[in-house]
Amino acid sequence: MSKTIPIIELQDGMILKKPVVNKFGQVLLREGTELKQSHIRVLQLWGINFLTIETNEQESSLEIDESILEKSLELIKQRMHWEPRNKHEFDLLELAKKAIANQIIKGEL
Amino acid sequence: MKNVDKLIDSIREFPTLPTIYSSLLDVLSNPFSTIKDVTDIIIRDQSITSKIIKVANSPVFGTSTRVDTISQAIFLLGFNEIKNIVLTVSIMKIFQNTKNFSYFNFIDLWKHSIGVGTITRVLGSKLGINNLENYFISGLLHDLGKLVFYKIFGEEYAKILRYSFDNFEEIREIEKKTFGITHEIAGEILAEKWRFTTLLREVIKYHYLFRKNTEDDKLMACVHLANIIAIAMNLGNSGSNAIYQPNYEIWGILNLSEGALSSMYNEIMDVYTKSIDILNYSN
Repeated sequence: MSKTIPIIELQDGMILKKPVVNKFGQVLLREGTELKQSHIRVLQLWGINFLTIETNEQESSLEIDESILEKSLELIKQRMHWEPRNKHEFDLLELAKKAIANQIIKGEL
Repeated sequence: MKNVDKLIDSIREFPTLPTIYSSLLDVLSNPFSTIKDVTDIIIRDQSITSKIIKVANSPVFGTSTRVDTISQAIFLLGFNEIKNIVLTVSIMKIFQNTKNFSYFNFIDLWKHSIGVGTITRVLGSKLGINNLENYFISGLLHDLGKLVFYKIFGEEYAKILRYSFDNFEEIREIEKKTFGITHEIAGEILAEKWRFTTLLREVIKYHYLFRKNTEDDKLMACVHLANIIAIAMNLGNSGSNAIYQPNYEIWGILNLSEGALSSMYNEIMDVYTKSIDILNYSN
């Protein structure tokens, strides 16, 4: 998984998921580079605003309690009056399930 | 039912987009225009210039390089995307003073639009499409007609949105009964007045029903799906609570890899959160 962050949120040990490229297409930092806070200043000099870094968020979303995921699916099913016809429509439900489960956890629902 | 002709007239009398946008269209239609010509048009309006720079730096218009000047933005993003950014900022200006009604907040409709724009763009990048120009703007403006109805009818439309949301009723049917036309048609009328591209006009008209053989079927399929995803994920509120089933044809057009949709969650939330902040029309 990856995430795009403003450079000021950069922390030691983050791994670059996409290369940093300047406006002429030259690679300034390669994919896979381990980032350090000291990179912030250099990136500012280069005029870079955002970075795409690797995250473990897929693992963290797996940690969502099964009961919450079930509740989330139940809420979604109340709002849809159709059955998935292919793997993509099942996947669409998976995406919705993640979103709703996170809203339940944050107390937004 | 209201008098449809009168309604169509009031849509045609809707404010024009800021002059900067029409001047820009004129300059861009001249093949000999240079970056300087375009820059000169934009920097004439200082208040809009700073907003354009801000929007050009948002992840939905996608460059990781910081943009500080209009000429830099044109250089990095190209004429067409600059036109889309100016359009985005112009639309924000048109709707900035829209009154909110307790039944249904206008801001929720706007957030839904940003959500669909974000997802359309993320879907496009997931599909490996090289030229993502037009992706965000198409999603952002798909429901232009709803924004128009809200601006013209205010509380009456806010009530309709609330009723449709609470009762799982199809909003298009209520619009037809009440106003004589759906928001898709209302949006199309305004899009014509505002000299939108054929692509945008098709998106506004067919995002819900979906139709093939348009200017860009892939983009059309992305907006159709993004709308459903934004509803399912509760990003803003479109007045539709029901998650409807996608048109089956889009799966063949998109040819997504397995698990592609569910893997987009973090990126969607990340870009959406940032965009909500940058595209806040009341700023």
